[in-house]
Amino acid sequence: MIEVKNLHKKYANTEVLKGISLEFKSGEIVGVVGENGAGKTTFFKCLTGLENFEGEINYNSGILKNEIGFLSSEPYFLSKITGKEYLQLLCTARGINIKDFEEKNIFDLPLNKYAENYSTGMKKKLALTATLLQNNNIFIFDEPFNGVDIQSNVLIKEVLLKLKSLNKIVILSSHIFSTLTETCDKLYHLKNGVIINSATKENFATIEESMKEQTLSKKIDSLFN
Amino acid sequence: MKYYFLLQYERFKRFTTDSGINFLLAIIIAVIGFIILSHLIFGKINLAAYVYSASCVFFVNLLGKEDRNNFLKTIYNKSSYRKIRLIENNVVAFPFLLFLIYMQLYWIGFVLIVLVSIFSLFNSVKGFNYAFPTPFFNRPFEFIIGFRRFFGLFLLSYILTIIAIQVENFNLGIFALLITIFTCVGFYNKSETAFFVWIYNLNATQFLQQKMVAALLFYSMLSFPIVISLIIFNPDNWYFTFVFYLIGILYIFLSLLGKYAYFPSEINVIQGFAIGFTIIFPPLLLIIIPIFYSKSKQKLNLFLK
Repeated sequence: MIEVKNLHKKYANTEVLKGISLEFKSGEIVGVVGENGAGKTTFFKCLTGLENFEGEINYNSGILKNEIGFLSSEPYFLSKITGKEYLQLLCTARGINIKDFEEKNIFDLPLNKYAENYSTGMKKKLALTATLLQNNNIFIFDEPFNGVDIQSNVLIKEVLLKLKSLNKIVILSSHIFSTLTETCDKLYHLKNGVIINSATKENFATIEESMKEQTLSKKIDSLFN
Repeated sequence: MKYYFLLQYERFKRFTTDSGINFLLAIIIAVIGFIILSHLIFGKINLAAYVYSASCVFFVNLLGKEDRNNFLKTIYNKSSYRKIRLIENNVVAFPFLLFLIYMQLYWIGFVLIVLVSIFSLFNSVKGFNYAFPTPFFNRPFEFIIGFRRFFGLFLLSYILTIIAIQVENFNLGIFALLITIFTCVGFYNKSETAFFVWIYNLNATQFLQQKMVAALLFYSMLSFPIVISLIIFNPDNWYFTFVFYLIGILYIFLSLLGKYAYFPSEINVIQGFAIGFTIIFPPLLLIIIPIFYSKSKQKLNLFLK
C-alpha cells in the first residue's frame, strides 16, 4: 500500500500541490482526473521521486522508487537508440534480463528501428512495454491512451485489468473519461492542486457531472458573445 | 523579421544570465576566449586556416537543422526565411572572418563567406537511419549513441593511424588517438532526462561506478587499435602513447562526472571554463575529477536511493 500524507509541492512561489492525502492499494486501479495544469503530472513525479516535495509518501514493501514503472505523458527517447535497445536499457537498469524482446512485443513495434523516429503513438507503446517488462509492482501511467490507435487502446485497457488481477497498484490519468470509467476502481478529481472530489465505481457519474459543470459553466457563451 | 532577431538576442541574454553569469561579462569572456583559441589554433596546428574554416562551417551547420528550419518556414514567407538564414549564417561566420582578415588570409575569408552563404540555401544533412549494430552491447547508452553518431570520426582516426605508420609519423598517430579521445569525451556533453537515471535500482556510487567502468572498457575498445599499433610500430615511444591513453581516460571521466555534477542541468559557462582550464593545465584534472565525483554523488542522490 502507498500512503500519501499532506503532500505539498512548490515551484518558486507557486504552490502546485496543496496538501494531498491519498491511499493506493494493491489490486486497485486508481484514476486521477483534472484539467490541464491541475497538478496531475507533478503529483505523479512526486510519487516516483522525480520531484522533491513536502509531506510524506509511505510504502510498506521496500524502496518505492525501485518498484515503480512510470510512463510519462510524453516519454523521452534518446537519439540513435533502437526500440529494442530502449527496452534493454530500461530492463537492465532494473536487473531484468530478457533475451527475446520480439516475443514480448505485443504492440508489433519495429524494434530494430530508431525509437526517436517512431510516431507519437508508437513511442507511447514502446515506453509502456518497457514499464511492463520491468516486473514492477506499482504502475503510474500518465495519459497512457494519448495518441494510440483504437486497437492499442483496447489492448492497454486489457493490460490494466491484467495488472489489477496480478494484485499490482495501478495509478493513471487520462483525459478520455470513458477509458477511466471502464478500468478504474476509484477516481480522484484534482483541481488547482487539491483533491476536490473522489468516487468509487458506482459514483463515477457524479465526478463527470461535477467536472462538466465546473468546466463548462458559461465559458462557451463568453467566447461567442 | 526584426522581432525574430530581437528574440534571438533575448534568448542569448537569457542563456548567459541563467548560467549565472553577467551578460556583459559573458560577451567579454567569449571574445577573449575566441581570440585565445584562434591564436592557439594558428600557433599549434599545421594547415590551421583549413581547420579554422572547418570549425566555422561546423557551427554554421548547426543552424541548418531541419526541425528548426521547418518551423521558420511555417512562420515566414520564402524571401524572409532566406534572408534570416543568410543573416544568421553570416553572423556566426563574422568573428571567424575578422580573424582571418587579421591573419591576412583574405582569400580564405572570402571563400568562407561565400560557402556559408550557399549553406543558407540548404538544411544540414540528416544522419542515415539504419541502426547498425555497435560493439557496446547494452551497457549505458552513451557509447552506443556516440559511436553511431560519430562513426566517421573513428573511421578517420583509424585511417590516420594507418597513414601515420606508413609515413612513420608518430605525431600523426597521436593526433589520431586524440581524435578518438575527444570524440569519446563529447559523448557526455549532453545530459539525459532525469528519468534515465531514476530507472536504475542502484545507489549513486554504484551508478557512477557502472558508468565509469563502461566508459573505461568501451574507450579502451575504441582506442586499442590505435594504441597497440603505435606501440608496435614505435616501441621507443611506447610510454608517450600509454600516457596519452591514460590522459584520455581522465578526460572521459571528467566529462562523465561533469555531466552528473550538475545533473539534470547542463554544464554551465563557469564549469565549462573550469574544464577548459584542464586542457591548458592538465594536472588540474586530479583536483577537478574528485570534486566532480563528490558533486555527482550529491546530485544523483536526489534521483537514486
